[in-house]
Amino acid sequence: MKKIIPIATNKPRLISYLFKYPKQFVLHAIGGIVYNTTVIFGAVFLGKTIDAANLVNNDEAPLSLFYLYLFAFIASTIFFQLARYVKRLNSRAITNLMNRDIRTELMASILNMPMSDLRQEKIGDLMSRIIGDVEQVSSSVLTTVREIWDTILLILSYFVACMLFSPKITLLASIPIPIVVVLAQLLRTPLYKLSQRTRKVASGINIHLQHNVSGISLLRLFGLERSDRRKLNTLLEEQLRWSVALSALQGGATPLFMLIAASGIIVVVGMGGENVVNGVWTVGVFTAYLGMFTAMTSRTPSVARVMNTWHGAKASWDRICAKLQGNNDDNLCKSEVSLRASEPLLQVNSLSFRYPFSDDSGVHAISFTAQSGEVIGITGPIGSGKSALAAALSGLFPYEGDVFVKGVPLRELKEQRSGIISYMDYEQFVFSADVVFNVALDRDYGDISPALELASMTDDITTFENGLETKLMERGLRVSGGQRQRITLARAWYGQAEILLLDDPFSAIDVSMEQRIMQNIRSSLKNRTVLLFSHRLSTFEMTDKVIVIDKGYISQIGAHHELVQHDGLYRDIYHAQRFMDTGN
Amino acid sequence: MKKERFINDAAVYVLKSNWWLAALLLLTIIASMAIQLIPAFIIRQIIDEHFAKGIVQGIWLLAIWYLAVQAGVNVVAFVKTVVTTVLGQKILNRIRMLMAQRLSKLPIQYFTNTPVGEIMSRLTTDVDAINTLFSSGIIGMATDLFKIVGLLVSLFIIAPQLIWLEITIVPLIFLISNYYRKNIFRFQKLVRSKVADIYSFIQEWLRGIHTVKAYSLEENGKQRFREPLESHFAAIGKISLYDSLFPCLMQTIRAVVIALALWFGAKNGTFLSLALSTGTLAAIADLVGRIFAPIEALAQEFQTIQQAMAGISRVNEFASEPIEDRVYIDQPIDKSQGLVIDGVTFSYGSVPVLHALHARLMPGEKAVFIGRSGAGKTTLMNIVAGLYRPKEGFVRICGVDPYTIPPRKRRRLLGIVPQMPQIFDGTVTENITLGDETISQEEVEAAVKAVGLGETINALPQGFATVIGEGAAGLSSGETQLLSLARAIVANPQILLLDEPTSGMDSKTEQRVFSAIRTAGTGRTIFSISHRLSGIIDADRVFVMAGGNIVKSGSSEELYENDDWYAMYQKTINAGWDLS
Repeated sequence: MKKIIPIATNKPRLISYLFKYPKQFVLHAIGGIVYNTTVIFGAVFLGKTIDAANLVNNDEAPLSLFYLYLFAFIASTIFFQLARYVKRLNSRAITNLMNRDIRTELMASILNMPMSDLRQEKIGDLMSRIIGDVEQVSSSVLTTVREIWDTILLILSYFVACMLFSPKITLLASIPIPIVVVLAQLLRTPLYKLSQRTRKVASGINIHLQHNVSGISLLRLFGLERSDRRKLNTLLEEQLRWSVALSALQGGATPLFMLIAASGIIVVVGMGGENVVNGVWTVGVFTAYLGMFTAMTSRTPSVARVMNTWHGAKASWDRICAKLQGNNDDNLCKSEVSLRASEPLLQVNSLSFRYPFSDDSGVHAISFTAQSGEVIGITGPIGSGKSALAAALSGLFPYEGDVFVKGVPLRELKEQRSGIISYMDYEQFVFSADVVFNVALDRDYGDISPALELASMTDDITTFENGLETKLMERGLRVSGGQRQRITLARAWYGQAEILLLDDPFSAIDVSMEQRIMQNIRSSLKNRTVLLFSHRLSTFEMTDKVIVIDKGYISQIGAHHELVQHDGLYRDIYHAQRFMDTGN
Repeated sequence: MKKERFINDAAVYVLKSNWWLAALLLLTIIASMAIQLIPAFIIRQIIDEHFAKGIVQGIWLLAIWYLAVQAGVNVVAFVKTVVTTVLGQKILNRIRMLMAQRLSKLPIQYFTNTPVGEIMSRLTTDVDAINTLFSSGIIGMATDLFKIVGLLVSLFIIAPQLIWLEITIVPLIFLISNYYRKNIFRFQKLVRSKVADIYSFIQEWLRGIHTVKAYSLEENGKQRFREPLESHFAAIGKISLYDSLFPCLMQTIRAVVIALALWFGAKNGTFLSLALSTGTLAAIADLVGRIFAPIEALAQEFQTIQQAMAGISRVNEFASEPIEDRVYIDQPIDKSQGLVIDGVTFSYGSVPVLHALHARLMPGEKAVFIGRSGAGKTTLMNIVAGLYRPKEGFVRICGVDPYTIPPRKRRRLLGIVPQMPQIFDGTVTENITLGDETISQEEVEAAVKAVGLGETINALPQGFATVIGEGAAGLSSGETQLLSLARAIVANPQILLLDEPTSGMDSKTEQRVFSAIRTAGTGRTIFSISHRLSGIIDADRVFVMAGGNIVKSGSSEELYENDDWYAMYQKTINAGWDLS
C-alpha cells in the first residue's frame, strides 16, 4: 500500500485520514462492534455455567447442561477475543499507515519550499513536526477510535445487557455514572494545569542543568558552583512538591471516580441478592450481572477522555498543515526557454542582492561578464559580500537587476538551472552516504573518476577501506575537512554545468594541493567558466580576471597582473599574504 | 579509582531518613494484597449462606461491606501512589544533587570532550530511568508478588485440592507474558533505532538543503526518505502484531483456566470431581480470574527493571569519572605583584600546545596576546584563569596560583569576559552577582554604571529586577557583552581576562564595548587575547604567538616600526581580511 495523498489546496481534514484506508477501517470497525457487543456473553455464560453446576449438584439438571455452558463460555471467549484481535491489529495499522504517509507528504512539501523560505526554518522545529506532531496526531486518532468502541459502545452493550436482566436494578445502580462523567470533565482543567505546571518545573530543571553544563567554565571561573547547586536544590524541592500534588490529584481522582461509579454495586448486591433469594434470579445471573456491572463502571471515567484527546491533537495537526501548505519553489517548474549560443555565458548587470530576511548589507550594483573558458577570481574582506554574490548567481534566491545566462534571465531558467549552474556553497556539505552518491548525487553523467581526479581525490580514495563505496558518515566524519572539500568540488565539476560557482573551495586545503587543483581546472576547463570566490590570493595568478568586492560594491576589477602593479587593497593583501606564507 | 555507588547511597539515605514513609509503603503493599481477596469471600458468603439457604436478612449489610472493600482498595491504591511518588522523587533528587556535586569536581577537559547533550542525558533521562525502576519496577514488583501469593493462599483455603492447578498455571502465564514483553522490548529498541534513522535523514537533508536545492535533489530526497520510513513501518508493524495478539490470547487462556477450575470444582461426572459449593465455585472463578493481572504486570516489571539497569550503569559510569585532584589553598593576595607566567608548558594528551612560555605583567599593565587561530592563545588564557593546571611551569596572579585559589576568593582576584557572553535565566542583578550573596545591590549598580549600562537597565520594565534569559530579551548583543563585563568587575578583581570580547560586533558597538573596557579596566591588569587589533590600540604591550610560542613582544609602535611580519599582520587585519 503505497499511497501518497495529493497536496490539497485547502486545509486537509484530519478526520479524512480515517477513510484513506478503507480496508483497515472497515475491518477494525467490524472487529470493534463485534467484540464490544459479544463480550457480554463471557460473563453471561460464566454465570450460566455456575448455575448449571448448582443445578447438577442438586440433580435438577443433566450433566450435559453444565458441559454445554462450559463449552459456550470458552467458545464465546475465543470468538470475541478474535474480533478484538482484528480490531486492535487494524486500528494500529491505520495509525502506522497515517504516520508513514503524513511524514512522506510533509517531507515532500518541505523539500519543495523555495530556498528563501527554507532559510527561515529551524531544523529542530521541522523535525519535531515531522516526528513528534505526526506521532501525536496519529496516536490521538488511535486513542479516539479506541475509546469510541471500547468505552462508549462497550458501556452501551453492558448497559443494554444489564437492562435485559433487570431494568429496575440497572437504572438505580447507574445513577452515579453520569455524575462521574461530569466530574471527570470538571476535573480535567485543574489536572491539565497541574500537569503543565509540573512539566514546566521539570523543564526548568533541565534548562538550569543545561546552562550549568554549558556554562561550567564561567561558573568555575567565578567560583560559583556551590551556590548554583543550592539553586538546583531549591528547584528540585519545588519539583518534588508539584509532582506529589499531581500524583495525589491523579492518583486520587481515578479511584474516587471508580468508587462513585461503583457505588451502585450496593444496589446490585442488595437487590440482586434479594432477587436470588426470592427465586427471581439464579446465582449465575447474579454473578454474571455483578461481573458486567463492574466492567461497565470501571470504564466510566474514560468517557470524558474521548473528546479531549481529539482536541489535543488539533494543535499538532495545525502545525503539520502549516508546512503541508508551504509555498512551492519556482525552480521546480517547467521552463520553456532556449539558450542562445551567440550570447555571453554569463552577463551580470547592476545586480543587487541580500539574503532574504537578513540584516546583511549584501551586494549592490554588480556588473561584469564571464565568457566560456574563463576563470574569474572574486575576493574581498570578511563580510564584503563574496558569499552573497555567489548565492545570488546560484539562482536559488530572488535578486534585483539582471543576470543573463546565454541571453536568458537567470530567474527564468527554472528546472534547467541546476544543469547549467553548479554551486559549491561555503558550507561544503556532504551526505553520510558513500563517495559515489556524494559526487554523482543520483545524476547520470557517466564515470565519476575524472571529476575526482580533477579534485586530486584519486589517491585519497585508494586509502579508503571501501574505496568509492566508503560511507562518509554523519557530517562527513569519516573524511578530513580537506577531503570533504575536494569531494564537494568533484561534485560541482561532475556533469555538464557550464557555470561553476566555487565559494571558498580551498580553505581546508594546503597551498601546494590548491595549486595542483587550479592547474587541473585550467587544463580541463574547455567551454566552462569558473567563478572562484576566495580570500586567499595565491591561486589568483591563474585567473583571467579578478573582481575585488568591498562593502558590497566592486572596488577593483582587472587581470591579476594589472592589479598587483597598481596601488590598492588587492596589491596590499596579496603582498601581505605572500610575506606571511613564505617570508618574502 | 574508587567505585562510586550514587544510587545505592541515595536510596539507603532516603529510605533511612524517611523510615516512616517506607514503613507506610510496605503497609500499603501488604494491605493491597489482603484487601483484594475479600470480595471473593463476600460473594461466597452471600451465595452459600444466603442464596442457598434463602435468607434475605444480612444481604444488604454484605452489600455495604462489598462497597466498603472497593473503597478500601482505592484508598490503599491512592496512598501507595502518593508515597511511592514522594520516595521516588526524593531518591531522584538525592541522586541529582550527588551528580551535581560530582560535576563540580570534574576537570574542565571532561566538559570540552563530552557533548553537552550527553552530560544532560545522564543527568535527566538516565536518572529518570532510575525513578521508573523504583516506582514501576521494584515497588510494582513487590506489590504484584504479594498479590499473587495472597491469591494463591486464598485459593488454597477455599479449595486446597485445586492448588496444583494454580501452581502450574502461574509459571506458565509468567513465561508467556515474559516472552511477549521480551519481544516487545526488543522491537521497541528496533523502532527507536528506526526513528533515529528518520531523525538523521531529516536532519541530514535539511542541513544540506543548500546542496539539495543547488543540485535539484528534491525528488531524490522524497524517494530516499521512503527507505527509513518503510523500515520504521515494518518494525512498528511487528509491535502492532504482538500488541494486538497478546491481550486477546491472555484473556482466552484466562477463560480456559477458569473453565478448567470450574470443571474440577463442580460435579462433572468423572472421578476428578470435587463437587464444591456454588459459592465456592463463584469465588474460585473470581480469584483465578484475578491472578492474571499481577503476573502479566510482573513480566512487565521484570523487563522494566532490566531496561532501567542500563540507566543505572550509565549513572554509575558517570560517578566513576576521574575527578580533578585540585586542592584549594588560601593564599594572601599581594596587590604589588602583577601576572607572572613562568615556563608554562601544556599539552592536550600527547599533542603539545604551549612550549615553556614566559611573560610578566606589572600591576595595571595592559597586554594583548595575538596570533592566528591555533597559536595557543585560548589555552594560555584558560591556564591563566586557573581552569587548567600547566604541565610544567607556573602562573601567579598577585602571588596567587589561580588553579588552587578557593572558589569564594576567585572573583576578588580575577574577572573574565568570555567571547560569547552567557546570560542565565534570572534578573539583571542575579545575572551580575551570579547568586553570590556577598555582593551588595550598590556594588551591582556601581558596576553597571561603570560599564555605561546604567540607563539601559533603568529603562527596562523592572530595572534591575527585570528577568532576562535565553537570548537576553531586551538587550542587544553589545549590551549583553557589557553586562558580562559588569559581571566580571563587580567584585573588584585585580586582573581582567578578556577573550576577544568584541568578535562579531559591528564597529559602532565595538567602540562602545572598548570604551567601557577602558573605563572599567582603569587600575587593573588586563590580559586579553585577540586576532583583531582594531580596538586594542591602548595595549601597553603586544605578545605575538605562533605555534605555541611567544615569537615577538613589545609595544604596538615598536613592533610596527621594527617588525615586517607584525606590520603585514596588522595590515591584513585592518583590511578586514580573513586570516586563516
